[in-house]
Amino acid sequence: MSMENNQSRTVYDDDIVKKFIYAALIWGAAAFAVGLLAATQLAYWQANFNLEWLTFSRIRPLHTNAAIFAFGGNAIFAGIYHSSQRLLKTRLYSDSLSSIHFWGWQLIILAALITLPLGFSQSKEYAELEWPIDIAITVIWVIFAINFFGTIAVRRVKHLYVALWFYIATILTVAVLHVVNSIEIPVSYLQSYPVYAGVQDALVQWWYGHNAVAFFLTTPFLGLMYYYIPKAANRPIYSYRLSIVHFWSLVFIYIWAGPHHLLNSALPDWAQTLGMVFSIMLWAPSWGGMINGLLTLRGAWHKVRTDPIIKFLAVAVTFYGMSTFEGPLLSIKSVNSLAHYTDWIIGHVHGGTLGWNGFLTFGMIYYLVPKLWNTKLYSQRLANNHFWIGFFGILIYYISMWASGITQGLMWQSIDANGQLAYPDFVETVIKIVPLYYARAIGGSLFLIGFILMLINMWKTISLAPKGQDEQQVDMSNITMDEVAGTGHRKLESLGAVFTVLVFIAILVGSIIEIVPTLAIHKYLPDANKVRPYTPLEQAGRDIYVKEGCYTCHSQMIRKLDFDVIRYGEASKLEESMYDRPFQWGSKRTGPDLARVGGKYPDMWHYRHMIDPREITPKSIMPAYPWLDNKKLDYQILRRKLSVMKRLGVPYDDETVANADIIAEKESLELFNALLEQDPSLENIKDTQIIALISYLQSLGKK
Amino acid sequence: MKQSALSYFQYPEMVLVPLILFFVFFMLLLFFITRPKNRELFKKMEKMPLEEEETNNESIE
Ligand code: HEC
Repeated sequence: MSMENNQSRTVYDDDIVKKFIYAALIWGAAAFAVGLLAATQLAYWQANFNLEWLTFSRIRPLHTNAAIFAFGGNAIFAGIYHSSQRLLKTRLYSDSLSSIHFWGWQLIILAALITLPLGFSQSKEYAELEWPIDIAITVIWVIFAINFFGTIAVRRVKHLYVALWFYIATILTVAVLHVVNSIEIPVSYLQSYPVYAGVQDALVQWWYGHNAVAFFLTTPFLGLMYYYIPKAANRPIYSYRLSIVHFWSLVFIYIWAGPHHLLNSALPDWAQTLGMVFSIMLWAPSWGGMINGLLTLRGAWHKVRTDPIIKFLAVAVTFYGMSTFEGPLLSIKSVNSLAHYTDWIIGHVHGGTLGWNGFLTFGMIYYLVPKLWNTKLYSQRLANNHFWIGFFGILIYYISMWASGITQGLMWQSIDANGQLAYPDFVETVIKIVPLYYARAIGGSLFLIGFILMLINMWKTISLAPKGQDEQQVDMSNITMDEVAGTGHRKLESLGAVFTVLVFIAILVGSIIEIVPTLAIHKYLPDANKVRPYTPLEQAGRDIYVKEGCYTCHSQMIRKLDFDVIRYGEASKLEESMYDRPFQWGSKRTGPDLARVGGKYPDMWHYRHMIDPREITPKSIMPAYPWLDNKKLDYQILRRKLSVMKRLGVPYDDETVANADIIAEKESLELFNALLEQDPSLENIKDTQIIALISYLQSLGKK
Repeated sequence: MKQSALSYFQYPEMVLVPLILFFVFFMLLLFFITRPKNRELFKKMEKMPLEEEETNNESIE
């Protein structure tokens, strides 16, 4: 703290805001570029380059994490730090904490950038990072929280504007979500098993996953909306009352909506219904918020045509409205049975991220940079071009994914007069949508090109700004203070605290009622239904499946829907994944479901298919995994892995744990010999990872 | 029998619990925002983001 709170002048810390803006711009470019690469790989499989660290299934988590936590994260930190100082009329609580927050977060991103392509992944969506990074995230988040709540504590005004409420809810809930979903036991420096298994892991993960959308991509951005739209339009928010209802309803309802990611699955019905009902309810407060944002612009509509900032903000809020309309729609079980696992969901997500998060951030940055550098925007025209190119990019992206998703959904469902699948060969449904993948890549390119225009514009704006300015001092003497630090200060702090506790209760009630019953579910499974645990080699193969990120294209959850059952076999049951750490139910079927693929093909089929999918299925878009048949499997670590599993309740006997490596070696040798007999040229694949993977694939649905 | 019923924990009434909770909560919320006493407060609050400009601009040293 460079300034005492009770002085009449203060200097806001805008340096930290600038740093976070730089970071958001740099990581944004990386996140969008990697997204474009991933999109291209689905259209044109050759773009996987047969390189393990460039393969779709490793790149896709890099893209999602970079977009959410690197681009989105740095953007919200910039906005939160900038607006909070102004709303609280004080400098940030601690310069050193700000600095640790900034550099810590960048290091975490760097760690993600290195570990994800190398295949260190927990394969739980948006929670892929391994345990040491999880711990680092917790530490840095706590530092952010101390800095933020510290600033609230030393504020010069009594009341907390609604934007700050959204920030508080964000900080609190993200902490709870991250910690609960990341409880895992390490088996090595960069690998761990979650304590939850199967359905528990699924529920906890989607409670986390959905609320990452809610509390990382929605509440903080709504806070920014409630601050920057009034700023840009220079008029107060349309209805403060509505913003209060918006806030509390969102916080209360959102936390329940997670199970809409698991509709028609083996998750108990009551939890599915809960997820569906609360998702539909979400529509009301979300639209309340959108209307509130848009009506704030009433009277400033003429600016929508001329002012790129207002343009970005208005369209962002419209996309917020669109996504929050579509989300509840997709949560209706019948709609979901068509849309789930398809690209419709990908379209939905990008309407939200590119349209809402992206455009809001762009609007905010176009507003902030000239202000912070005390200059004018270099080019309005470039900004307008950015807007239009980006906007068309989103439209093309969205429409192509919508078309692709509905096409997939309808083809998967379609059953002919004889009660047979009209498209029994999965790859037919893939070939059909490949042109749309090209269209999507074009949409993504446009979005990226628009963003590059922004980078140029920002670079020019900043480099032309007047140099050598002192930090601005802000006069606080005429702030109509309700209270000044010292007198009555405790009371103020406690008000903020009461508020925080209320938010905490709202999110905790939902979480506990929803999750706790499921945590006990495996205990009540009848013994007769229980399945055998994975053999050591199968477990090793499973870990490779997890490491490679096959879940980015394959599900392992056959829904209780006729067309799913006809195509893939009996609907998946809870007990079948009860030892799965992490669960791999998946969320997207770019390839077919694998829950019952065991025994469907001979081992040799899998071998050939993994090394070169096109040798088996000529039009396949699955990447090749040629490195799997020259990398050796680590047998030694299996003892530790099985002993961790045993500690977590998997019924391995002591002998199996103690001899896990020897057992696995024997299993592997058998499979290898059988393959060698059919093809003597395979002598080099002894003890390689692919053998473990095949053994795992063959166990699916066979236990 | 009881065991296998428990195993799938079918408990549709469960959905009512949060719904009732939310209903009560929402009523309290409506009560709070419509209280005439709070009107002044909201007027003051909605101006907060706009206040800063006046103090900020003139203070460049
Ligand atoms: C880019 C998406 C993608 C990724 C990533 C991917 N697959 Fe596939 N997979 C497909 C597609 C598409 C098919 C269907 C065409 C074919 O047979 O190749 C498929 C088919 C399969 C099949 C045959 C299923 C059946 O019932 O016919 C298996 C087995 C399989 N994949 C395993 C894997 C494994 C293991 C991984 C991870 C190492 C993986 N896949 C990663 C897209 C993918």
